[in-house]
Amino acid sequence: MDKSAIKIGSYTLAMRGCELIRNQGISCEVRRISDCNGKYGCIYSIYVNSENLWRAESILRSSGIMVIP
Amino acid sequence: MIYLDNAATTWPKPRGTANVVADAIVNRGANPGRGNYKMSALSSETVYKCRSHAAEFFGARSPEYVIFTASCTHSINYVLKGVLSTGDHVIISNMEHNAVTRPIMQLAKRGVQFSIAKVHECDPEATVAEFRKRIRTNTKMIFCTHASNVFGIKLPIAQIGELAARNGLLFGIDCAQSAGTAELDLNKIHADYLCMPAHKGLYGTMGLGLLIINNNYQLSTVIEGGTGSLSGINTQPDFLPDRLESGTLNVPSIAALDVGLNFIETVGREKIESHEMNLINMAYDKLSSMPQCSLYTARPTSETHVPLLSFNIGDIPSEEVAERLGDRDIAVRAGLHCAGEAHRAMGTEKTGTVRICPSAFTSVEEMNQFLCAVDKI
Repeated sequence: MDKSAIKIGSYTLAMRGCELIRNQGISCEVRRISDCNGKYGCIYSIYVNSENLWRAESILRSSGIMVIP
Repeated sequence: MIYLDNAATTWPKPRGTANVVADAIVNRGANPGRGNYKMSALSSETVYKCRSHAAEFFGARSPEYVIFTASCTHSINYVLKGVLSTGDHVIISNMEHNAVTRPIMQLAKRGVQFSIAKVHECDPEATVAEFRKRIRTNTKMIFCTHASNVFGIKLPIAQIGELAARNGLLFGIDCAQSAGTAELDLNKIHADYLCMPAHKGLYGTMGLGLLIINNNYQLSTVIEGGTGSLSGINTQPDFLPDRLESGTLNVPSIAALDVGLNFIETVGREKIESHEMNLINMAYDKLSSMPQCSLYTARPTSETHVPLLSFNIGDIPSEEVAERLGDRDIAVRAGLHCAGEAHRAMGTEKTGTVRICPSAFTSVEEMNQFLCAVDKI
C-alpha cells in the first residue's frame, strides 16, 4: 500500500494529529524528517495510506493543526 | 524524620517515581524531538504522554497548550514578561510570592505600572472589590496567587476570573501551593494562564514547571533557541508548545510528573485535600489551645485555605523554633518564605513564621509527634 506524508511543524502537533486520525479509524505513524526543499529544516510527517490522505488532512485542518504545504 | 515542609517540595515521592526517573535516564535518555532513532522516539513519547495527561488533568484545550518550563517561577516570568510592556498596568495581590513580586518590580523599571490589591481572608466579595477598584483604562492583566504560600489563604480565583473576563483583562494564576491539592479545572474557571511547579502538590521531581495556556494570545518570548522543529527558519516558531520550549526538556522530571499525576488520580485529589485539611485542623486546634502559640488565620477550610499553617511560639525567633524542631528530626520551614509582601500584610515581617504543610503521606501519628514537640519548646 502506498504511503503519503502530511508535513507538520512540531512533534506535539504531529502526535496530537496522529491521535485524532487514529480516532477516526485510520492508521498512521509519526516520523521526524528533513524538509526536502530546505526551507523548514527539521519537521515531522504523519504517514497514512495514500487512499486516506484527503480524509486525514481534513481531520487535521478541522482541528486547527497547521499542515505544511 | 517527620517531614512537614511539603509546601517547599513534597517528600517522599510516590512509589515508582525513582524507578521511572532511572528508566528515563537509562532507557529513554536520548534528546526528545531531536532524533530519528528509536530511543529519541521513546523519549519524545514520554514527553507527549505526560503533556496529554497534564492537559486532561487541568482541563486544558489540548496537549500543545501545556508548556514545560524549568520551574513555576520560570512559568510566571514567561507570562508576566510575555504580556506586559511599557505603559501597561497589572494588578497583583498582597499575598504574592517573590516569584511574582520580583518580576513585577523588574518590569516596573521598564515602565510597567502595577497595583496591589488587599486580600480579605474568608471574604471573597471584599477581595474581588479590591481588585475591581484598581482596574484602570490601561490595565492589561490580573495576576495573583491561588493561595498564599505562607498563610494558606485562598484567593477567590473563580470570581476574580469573572471580573477579568468582564473587563477584557488577561488573568494569570500562580498555582504553586494549590496544583494537585485544590480543585483547578479550566472548564470551571476563567483563567488565561496557570503556572505551577511539578515537585509540590503534583508529586513530581524538582527542575520542572508547567505553564498552561488557555487562550490564543501570542506571548512574547523571554527565551529563544532550538526547538527541534522548523530548524531552517531563524526565527522562533509561532505555534505552541515549541514557541515557549527552547532547549532540551527535562525528560526524567517529566516522566516523574506522569507518575505523580497517576498517584493523585488513583488516590483521589479530594481525598488528599481532605486528609491534609484534617491534619492541619488537628494542628490548628492544638496550637490554638497553647497559650504560647500565635496563629494568624481563621481555622482552615477547603473553601478558604489550602492545607498549610503558619505560627510562632512566644518571642522565640521562628528560625530558632525550626532549628529546635530540626534537632528532633522534624522538618518545618521558618522565616519569610520568599514572600515579604505577604508577611508585611499580616504584620509578621519582623519575626517571620514557622510553617507546616502535610502531604498525602503524612500520618496522624506524625502530626501528634510534631504537636508534642512544639508543646515542649
